[in-house]
Amino acid sequence: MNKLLVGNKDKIDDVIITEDTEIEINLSDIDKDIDICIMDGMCLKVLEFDNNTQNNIRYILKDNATVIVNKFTVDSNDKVNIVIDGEGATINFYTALVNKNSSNYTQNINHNKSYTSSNVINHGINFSQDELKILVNGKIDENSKEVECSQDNKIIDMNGGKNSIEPNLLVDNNLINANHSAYIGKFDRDTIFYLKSRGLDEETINKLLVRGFLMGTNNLDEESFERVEQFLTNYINV
Amino acid sequence: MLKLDKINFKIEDRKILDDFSLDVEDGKIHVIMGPNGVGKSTLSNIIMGNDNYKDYTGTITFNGEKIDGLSVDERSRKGIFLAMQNPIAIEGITNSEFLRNALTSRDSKNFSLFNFIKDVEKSVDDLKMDRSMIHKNINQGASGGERKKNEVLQIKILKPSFIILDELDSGLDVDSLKIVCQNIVEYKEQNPNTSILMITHYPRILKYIHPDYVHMMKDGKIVKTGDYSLALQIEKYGYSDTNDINEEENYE
Repeated sequence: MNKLLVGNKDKIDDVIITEDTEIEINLSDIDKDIDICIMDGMCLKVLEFDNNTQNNIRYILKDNATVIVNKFTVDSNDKVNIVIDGEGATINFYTALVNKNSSNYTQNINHNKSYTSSNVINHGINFSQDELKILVNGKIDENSKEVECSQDNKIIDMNGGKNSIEPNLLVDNNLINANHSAYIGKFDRDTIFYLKSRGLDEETINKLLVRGFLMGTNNLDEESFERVEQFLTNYINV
Repeated sequence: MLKLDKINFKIEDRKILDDFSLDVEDGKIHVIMGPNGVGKSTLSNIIMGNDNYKDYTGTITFNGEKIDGLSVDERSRKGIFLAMQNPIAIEGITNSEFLRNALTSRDSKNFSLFNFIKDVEKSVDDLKMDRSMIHKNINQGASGGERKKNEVLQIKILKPSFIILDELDSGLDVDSLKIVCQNIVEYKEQNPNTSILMITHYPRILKYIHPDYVHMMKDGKIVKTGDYSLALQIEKYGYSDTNDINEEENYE
């Protein structure tokens, strides 16, 4: 497995993945344009940590490419473009967004080929009273059949912020399976009652729920899990 | 241990609990039976302090102290435990970190990680659960039976002194019901002062956990009190006919 580290100082515009690869991206206070092309049959795993960025990252998937992205970001104005240009390609993209000031996060997913699959999950927590905006556009070309396209978006509002989710599906083929969902609100009252009924106070519950919500349902390996925990501890003290 | 004095609760104009009174002594097992909608689960939520049920009148006393003003977590830390009818799944929080936090919230000074791991592993084995569950998110992907076992696991770890079992038997197959009940009986033997309030529709669970008192509830109050034989009577004749057999006797 090839491993790449991408930081603020690395001059990387185009990355072509020709063998199975893991990339760790760490970017802070920057705007970068990066194209990552995953060639036929290759597998790419990305673990990304960003703070206050305005990046433009494009993933281009060729035939049977497999991509898994776990992105953890604070105050993000990133734009992620996923271009599925190869049959049988799949992408699972998880984003945890922490909003401390303001965020405007965009994801575009274009299914240009048949038998492709995308599953994007966006979990945002808004600690500010400012804006957290998530825009997700899923597009399925008229020639793309047997496509799976799933978008799941949630924002938990902690302090009366301005939140919006726009989940769009633009579908030109009937032989596909597409779904999208959006939730903006507080943590579920039944969940809070359950945890309180075991003796946990409000502060502990908030910490556990925020952390759990942002960690998502990913099956991160132990090392990645620890890196994510460290990131969350650094930025939101949970 | 727990005394409910003239608890009244209504939703809009409908009375759910009507001057409901009950005194549960140390170490006793009380059972409340009744058809759907008579206020059994409302009662358990009120005892636990659920915010959705805070507008009740009357007094709840626990170990001599009025607890009406206490929050849910404060009541829990005093030793009250509600084993829920439908335990929910919680994303992103593992059973292990949940239990560890719940224990340290009770007594952080005397928390020992070694003892915690030992206790949890033993309890998981006692309940015939898979040890890997401890590292999984709370009840996520778990069946109804596994969720009920998880409730009992929490009892064994958190060691409450007053336990409410709200329809523990629902969602449990015969084998799981036996295992769950065995564990509760063992817990009770090890902690003889622990009191239990069971809420159930069916007497089958009472074959395993023998009650001291059985109460029949109707229209928000207890209308009949007896021993195990009352549960059998209910099973045989149903709630309506059982109520007609003898004169109404209120229990306080």
